[in-house]
Amino acid sequence: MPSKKHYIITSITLGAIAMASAVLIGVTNLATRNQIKKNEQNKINAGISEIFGKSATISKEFAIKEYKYSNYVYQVKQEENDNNYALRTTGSNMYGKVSLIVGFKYQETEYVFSGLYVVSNEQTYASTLVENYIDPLNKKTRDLDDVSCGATYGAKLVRDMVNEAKEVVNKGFGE
Amino acid sequence: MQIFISFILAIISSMLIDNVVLSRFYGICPFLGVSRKVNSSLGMGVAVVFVIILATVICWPLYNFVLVPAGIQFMDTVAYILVIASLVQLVGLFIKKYSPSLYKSLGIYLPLITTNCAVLGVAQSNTDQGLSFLSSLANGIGTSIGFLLIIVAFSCIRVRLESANTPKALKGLPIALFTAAIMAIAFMGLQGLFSGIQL
Amino acid sequence: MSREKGYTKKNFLKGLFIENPLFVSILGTCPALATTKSVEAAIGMGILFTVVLICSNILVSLLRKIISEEIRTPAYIVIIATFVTIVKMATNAFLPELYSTLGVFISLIVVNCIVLGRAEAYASKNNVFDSLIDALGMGLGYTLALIAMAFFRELLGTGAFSFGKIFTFIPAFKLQIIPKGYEISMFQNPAGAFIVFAIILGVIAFIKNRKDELKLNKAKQERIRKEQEAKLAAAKETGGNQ
Repeated sequence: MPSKKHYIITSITLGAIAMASAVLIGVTNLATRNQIKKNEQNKINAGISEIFGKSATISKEFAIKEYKYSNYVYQVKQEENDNNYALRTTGSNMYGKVSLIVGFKYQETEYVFSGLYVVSNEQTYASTLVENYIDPLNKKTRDLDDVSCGATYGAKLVRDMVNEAKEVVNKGFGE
Repeated sequence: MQIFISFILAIISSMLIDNVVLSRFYGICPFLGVSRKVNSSLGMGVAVVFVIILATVICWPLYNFVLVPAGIQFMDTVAYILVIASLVQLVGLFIKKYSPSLYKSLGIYLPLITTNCAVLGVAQSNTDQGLSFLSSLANGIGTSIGFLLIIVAFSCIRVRLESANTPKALKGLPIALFTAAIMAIAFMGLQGLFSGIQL
Repeated sequence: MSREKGYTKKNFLKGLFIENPLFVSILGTCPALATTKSVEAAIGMGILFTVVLICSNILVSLLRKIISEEIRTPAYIVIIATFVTIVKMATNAFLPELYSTLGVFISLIVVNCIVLGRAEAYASKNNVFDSLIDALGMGLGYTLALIAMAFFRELLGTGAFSFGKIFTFIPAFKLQIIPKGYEISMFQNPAGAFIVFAIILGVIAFIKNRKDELKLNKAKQERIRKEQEAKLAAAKETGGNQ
């Protein structure tokens, strides 16, 4: 029959291991947190230069809260008088999360959709969605409303996200 | 009503179209290891259904109501595996107390479930993908029933294969894996099953 | 403790061939099927796996006198999960492409039977150095097995080997081997993974059977030769007597 002391020692060992693991993970988290943030920023910069060209720079950025998908706005400048916008939108459905950058260029009277960049795509049919819907959309060989592509639900989500972003950007940001 | 329909659709899609074993590759170890007899595969499958649904119901609130407010989302894997390991123990004790006959048939598979990637995989991907609770539940139910379905079907085929005249080098696992490949091809045919349904 | 000579070498090599975790013990099959679409991803998975295995083996071996029998499994699980989380965060920070390619399968190293199995079967009974060598051998064996799977899947499925997509620090290049249009894209799908795995296991079984047969034949011939010699000797003896 194991004694009381035995039980105490066992539980102390387990507790110590758990504590040590928590501390180790915490330290690693501190060490890697900045790098992870930097990677995300790099990805956004890459997306913006893919949509607007290499010379594009972010001149202003701010968060917006009142919409379902759109949550961040980047004002992009290529030349002095440019006034283009890129919106970061994140949405999820039954098949997982998608995070996109949607670019808009100002043409004559309104902002027109000009490109999509996938920041992260955790949909079950991620590659189908990108190959059959998002890539053709960027090449302008597919219509935004033409969603039956083998990953129809994901495409519908992307369509809704883009439409919302379009509405948001044309409404203006109270400037 | 629409929520109900999409709930059912999500269950069916994670059960058949996006089957755990044949397209997501979770839980291959028990799929190959415990499928020699129909009875044992049935036992394993039922035990997995039990644990996955319980684990989903516990892990989702744990992540969203404990880990996120505390700002320690990065502890998710450790938390989930502890929940699953203790859950397996508890389920074992519970069944042992209230239904010894069920314990006799399920008991030996319970320890194996801790190392079944399907359980941790479902819990982890639910929160990684930012699914809502209802979607997580649908994913859990669909995944586990899909596992049960596949492992039982596979074991039925394997029983026949035992007596079939296969080349000596392919006896046992290799021919079973070929069977799994053919099943995977069959399940690939289910892709796009819902593309006609308007939602 | 008395050690036979060359034990370290044997200990290292057993993971590569005789006790290869994937092809002989059939353990850790989930990542072997899921992360072998490209050779690069397989290498990445193998490295992460080896790092976790080495760390957990060393720590388990260090703590083998402290951890008592009944809390073994939970303690090991916590240790492994800790290292997996650390590796996961480091990958996310320094190799983001690898992180997004492997996805949930990095977390699933926790439930990889090989890591827990080596901790229980080897590291909990042996000293730190031997455990380290064991982990190195097993990790390398598993990595090589993954690369073998990925080699056939990428070659047949896409007709080319492309590098630089995941390990972004090396220049991207593509090695087209099968001309475009002749690739069999099924090998990139789940079904292809099962088929490649089945064929590799079948070939290994074939070689093993062949070796056993040869050994059996040799033993049989030896026996027949001995019998004949004995007969001859007996004949000589009786002949000499006459």
